[in-house]
Amino acid sequence: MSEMTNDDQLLAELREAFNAAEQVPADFIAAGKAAFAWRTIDAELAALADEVRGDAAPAGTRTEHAAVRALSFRADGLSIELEVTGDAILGQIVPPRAGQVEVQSLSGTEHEAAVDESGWFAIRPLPSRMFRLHLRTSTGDVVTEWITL
Amino acid sequence: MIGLVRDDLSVVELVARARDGDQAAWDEIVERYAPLVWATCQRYGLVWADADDVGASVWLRLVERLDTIRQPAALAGWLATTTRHECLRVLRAKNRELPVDDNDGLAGDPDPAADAWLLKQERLIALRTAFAELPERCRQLLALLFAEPVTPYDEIGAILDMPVGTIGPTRQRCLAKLRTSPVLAALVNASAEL
Repeated sequence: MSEMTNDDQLLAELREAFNAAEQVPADFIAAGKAAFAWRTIDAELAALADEVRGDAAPAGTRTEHAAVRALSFRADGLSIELEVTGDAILGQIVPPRAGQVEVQSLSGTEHEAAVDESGWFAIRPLPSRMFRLHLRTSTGDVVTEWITL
Repeated sequence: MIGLVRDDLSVVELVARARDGDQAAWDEIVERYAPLVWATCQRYGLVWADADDVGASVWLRLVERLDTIRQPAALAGWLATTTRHECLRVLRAKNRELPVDDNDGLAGDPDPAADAWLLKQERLIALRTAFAELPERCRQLLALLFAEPVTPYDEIGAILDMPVGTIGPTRQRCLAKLRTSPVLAALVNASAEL
């Protein structure tokens, strides 16, 4: 008899498991599958190592539209320092090197900018959606983690 | 976060194949774990575009981490944590008053209710995976048996073209098979070690 009860319980759990899976919209799953297209194997990942938000500053010390955020991404032997201002991303490659930086969003390459000899670059306007930076230099490619401003 | 490593070979294998660029393996990972990501969004009250935003971030982060994930067997825990972070990010963007410090109650997540919730989600994932591995006949019968409203045995017999008298024993046999599935057994053993 107790075996029956266990079986009934297991069936109830199965029902719950499948009801839960059925609630997930097909689009949600499709978007997840599509994310695989963003797999990059020829570039090293620069992980977010540090982040400072301007809006953590005491109230009244900033104007509404000038919230500054600093992000620091680190890869092997290289870091990408970003400062997000009201209308641009200002970047610095450390140690400095020249190259090209690409702003990639889910819809493709949005924007490209040159990195000058001192490792400096600027991106305008601010990406509105989630994006990442793909940096190409003579010593190799580096891609940042995905960023949402 | 529960620091358990489950001996779930199939997910380890899926991650290994996805690392090799196998889209089908990746699709299987998404199919298997999307309900966990979705349920986490729901837990934080996120729906529609907000949940889509979180979902996209979570899967992109998994794609970029595929090569460096040290414990693929603990993927469910990683996904739950990453989804929580992304949900809080979205909520923070909507409501500036939420604390900015991500590490507060998150990285370690000492909330026992959250641990129990995750264990439950992992059990549901394991049940779906184990069910998918059953013989087709078992899947058909069990699907009819757990469907609501309840289908009478004589109708089930007619649908599956099987004698009503064999439904009970077959049900028992199929559920026994499910119970001994390695996917489910791995989870039970891991829970027993808690």
